[in-house]
Amino acid sequence: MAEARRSAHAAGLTVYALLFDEPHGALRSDALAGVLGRAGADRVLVCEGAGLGAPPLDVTHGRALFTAAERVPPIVILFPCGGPGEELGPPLAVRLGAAYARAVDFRVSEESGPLADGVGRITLRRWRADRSGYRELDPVEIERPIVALLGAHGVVREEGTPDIDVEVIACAPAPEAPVVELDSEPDEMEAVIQARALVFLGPGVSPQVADRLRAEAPAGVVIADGATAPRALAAASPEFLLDVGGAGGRLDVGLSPRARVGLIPLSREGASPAAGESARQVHDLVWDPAGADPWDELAAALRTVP
Amino acid sequence: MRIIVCLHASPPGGQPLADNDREAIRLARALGEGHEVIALLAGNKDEIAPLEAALRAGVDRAARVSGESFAAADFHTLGQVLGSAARTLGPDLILGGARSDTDGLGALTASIARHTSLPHLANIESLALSAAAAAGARSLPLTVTVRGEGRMRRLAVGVPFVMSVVRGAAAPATGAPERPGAPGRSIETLAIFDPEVTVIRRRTEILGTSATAERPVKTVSSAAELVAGLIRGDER
Repeated sequence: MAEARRSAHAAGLTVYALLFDEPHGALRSDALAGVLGRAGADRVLVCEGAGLGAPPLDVTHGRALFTAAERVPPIVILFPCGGPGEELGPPLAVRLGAAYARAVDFRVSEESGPLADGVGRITLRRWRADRSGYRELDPVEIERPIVALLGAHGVVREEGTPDIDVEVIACAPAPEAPVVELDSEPDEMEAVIQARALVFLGPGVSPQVADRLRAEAPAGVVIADGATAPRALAAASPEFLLDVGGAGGRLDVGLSPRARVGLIPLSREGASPAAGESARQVHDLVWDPAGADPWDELAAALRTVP
Repeated sequence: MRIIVCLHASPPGGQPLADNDREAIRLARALGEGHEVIALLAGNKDEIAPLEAALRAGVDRAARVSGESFAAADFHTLGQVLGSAARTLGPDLILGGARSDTDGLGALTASIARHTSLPHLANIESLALSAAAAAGARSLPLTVTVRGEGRMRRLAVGVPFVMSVVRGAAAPATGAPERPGAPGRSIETLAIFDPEVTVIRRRTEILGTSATAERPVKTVSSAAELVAGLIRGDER
């Protein structure tokens, strides 16, 4: 919400917050408007329908989301990092004929003022797959909306007002979906997916050091290693990534162009990219402890992360 | 069950199969004997390396949708091509490696689902025949695991379905063992005759315009300076 508000303020856009709920559910309340309004929404859309209170899947929620998107219609549809964006975003982009991007950041055009009819000039940026450069998406230029997943960064601010309208959209129940949830359990990797500060420990880091760093890291720093599910790393989009040991281009983390990447090479071998990976080295900062024991110093430095 | 694994032409110098592609093939093969696994790729005859790798990884058939190179096509276009070709094969299940499409967007399987009019599920981490399927019931024959909203969820799903696959924590790091090519397993060529698909054009504009990344690497002399630089959060 804060990222959308920031860009909307600069480009003269309206921010809609969109939620799903069961018919006559508990979400439609003054409290809802208050929270989302203060967070930056200009309006709230609540899609009500049988089954929409469940965790979202495209087969159950996709049609309702498309209905809401057609109601607005938006130039940019944002999903937060770690939310349902990877499940709902691509099918929505396909239905809308929209562009789609993940791990994006916003840029507000330096051109003066919004375009005609209040259409603002914002662009979204993402890395190319080989990290050889950026891709910039301008919804005005491509003449279609953009569905995008944000990185887990930005500063949460409450700059809006609680006095906003809540509109309820009655959505027809989804046709019987060929999906039934059998069971579920808490995802122990969720902290990695939601991390704003992610430290990845390569194979050169001993288990004892890893345990120590985990124990001493502040709450805002998440420590991952080779045992971390690749799926969780790929879904993460942290504000900064510290690569300890030089996994480099082999590390599939959803970095946005705004994210900063640090490297601590632990060995000459680990610091060298494998063949064909040189274009994917995107380290902004490198600290080479040159054989000295870096762990006391690193643990102390990580404690400064807010 | 007939399972199609959709592949994408690999970038120059890249591995023919991404990790998630290998995992999709592994999951399909792990369903056991009696299921036909077909690798499908759209591209020209110089882009068949992923299909050759898929045959080595154990698929039963490999098919190329003939045409121009789709290596840089957007997911709408590629999904239309692969979806149209997949329809002719009559699949029960279509799998694709998540983020194996152009620029790693992770939207190709959703586009294939749209063009085959099949339901879509993103980022499955496991795939197995359900107990009901083993007992002969066909209503929801598959069980998958997905991650999201802070939960690991086990779902029973029906067929036909389109799913993207990601390598989960339980997946072997090296994927399925390769096997030598069996005699007679060559790459088939499919042509699209559906008149509704004649509108296909290779579009790249919605991938965005290219911009140079000017990111000089700064060498620092202490961990404190390193972390301070990382949390500075300046705009680029």
